[in-house]
Amino acid sequence: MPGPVLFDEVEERIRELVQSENPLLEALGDLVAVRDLFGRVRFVLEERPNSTLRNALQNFAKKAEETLGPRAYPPEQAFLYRSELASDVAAELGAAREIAAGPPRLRFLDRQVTGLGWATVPTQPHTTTQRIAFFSLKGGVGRSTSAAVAAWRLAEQGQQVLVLDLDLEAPGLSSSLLPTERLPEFGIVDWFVEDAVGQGEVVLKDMVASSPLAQDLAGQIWVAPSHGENPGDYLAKLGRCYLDAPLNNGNGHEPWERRLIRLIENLEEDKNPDVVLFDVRAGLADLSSVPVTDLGADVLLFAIDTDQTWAGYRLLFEHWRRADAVRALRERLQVVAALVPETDRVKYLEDFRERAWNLFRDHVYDEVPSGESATDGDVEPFSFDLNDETAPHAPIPIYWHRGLASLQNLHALDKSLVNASFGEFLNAVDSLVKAQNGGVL
Amino acid sequence: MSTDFLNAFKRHHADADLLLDNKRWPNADQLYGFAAECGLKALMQALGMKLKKSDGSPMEISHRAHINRLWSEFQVFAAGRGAEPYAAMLPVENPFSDWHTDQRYYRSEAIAETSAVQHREALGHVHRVVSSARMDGRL
Repeated sequence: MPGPVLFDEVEERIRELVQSENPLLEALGDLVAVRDLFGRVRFVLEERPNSTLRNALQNFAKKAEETLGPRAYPPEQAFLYRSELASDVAAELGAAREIAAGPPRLRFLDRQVTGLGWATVPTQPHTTTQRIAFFSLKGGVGRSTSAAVAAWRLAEQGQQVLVLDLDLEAPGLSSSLLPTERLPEFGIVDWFVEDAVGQGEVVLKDMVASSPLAQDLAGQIWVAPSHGENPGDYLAKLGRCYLDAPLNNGNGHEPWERRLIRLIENLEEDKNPDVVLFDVRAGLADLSSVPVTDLGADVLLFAIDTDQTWAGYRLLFEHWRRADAVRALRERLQVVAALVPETDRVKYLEDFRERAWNLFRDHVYDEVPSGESATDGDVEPFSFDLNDETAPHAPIPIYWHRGLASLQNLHALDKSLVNASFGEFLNAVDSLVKAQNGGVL
Repeated sequence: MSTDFLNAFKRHHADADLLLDNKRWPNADQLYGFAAECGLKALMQALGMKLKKSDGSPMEISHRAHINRLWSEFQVFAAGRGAEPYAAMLPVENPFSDWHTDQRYYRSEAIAETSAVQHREALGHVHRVVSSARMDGRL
């Protein structure tokens, strides 16, 4: 008697099951297995079967129940029919991945409560505005400070910079960029609750403030904070941000990820920045997925050299690989070594680099079989050696510094201190922006 | 108890389409309203709405409503049960607000083709909710 089928075993078991029933199911042509919110599996057929196929499907449903146990539906509920689904819901089946060529061709679709993001990659960026996402798996690695310092550097070079605080669950980027008395009237959470009833434009004009950090600089820093000068009932608003809202025309709804993208596009249109920086919530939260995967942004992956960090990135990269999103994302990724300790820096960065390389080699880089030239075939493989300085895994260091650890006010920044700590990081930011502008900053 | 809202939704939906195709507007119109009610109640039951053992009708009096009132009840019910995405698929404004069970007593001419066609479109929203809930494994 086989044991219970666990969540991660479902796909393989279904593949085996369909293959073992092949002769009977061949006539189906196409079969989609849908794993529902609870992790149970149901099968979608084009339409109700004719009498010859009915018996085969009944048997198949019984076998599925025997094999998958509580992860299957009772045979009489095992099938859904595409022809009986509303057309836009049926269209979602198009996102199913092929897991066996067949016949029957078998595809697999995951219905998730959250985590639908992280693999939706735009076919083309929505804009020519340069976007840079600051992402970390854990908080407390200096991600927000780095975003503020990067904004300062870009403004110093005459750029118009817009910074969005997308760490809504831990608001606070803005206090280093924006003193409390400079906060705009509204924040990002206000836009979400107003937009839900179709009046987002009421707050749109008053949710961005200019940072005093740029007051003597050639450029400008605009900041969209998570909340405004009077936060109001922040938690009540926060709880409503991740809400799919009805469309104004009454036909259907708009997923919250799409609403966030619309907000970003509206702010970009309004302020017309050269560069937009996103301070992204730490960890694999749904909110973080939008700037990381959906905006065509360059993604700075902040990391410290710990097992937890690499294990976390491994989860994310494995997800990208499974969802076939790695190719679209990998040229936009860059690892940042955050909080590099004051002592033994060289050794620390060597170890860090090796672990980053292991991760990228396993999940991101193309395999180049030994003995073959790297330029064989039409497309050059995306692959880098351990010590390649131009590689996305090659860590850009930010050095921990006592003087910066307790920094409250970036305004009081000592330039030499910033350069000692952020010098290489800021050069990398310069190169990113330069590359986008065809070499001209 | 023999109440089966999902089954009834499918039956009313299919029969309403048949009547509409045959230009039987008034009864098509009535059945679109009942189909919408059954579709929403099927999901409400799946999300925890309790039914009376005696006759299979909803325990809560506010849920014992036809579609002209149930539409907004559904939106309230869905909020906070992790079912907001379903509520968000429905227009806030109830497209069945002009629908009433009493209309079955009206003369045929009183229910126009436009009414039946509009209610068929309105049922499309409910169909979408039901289809999504089925793919999600709620129904």
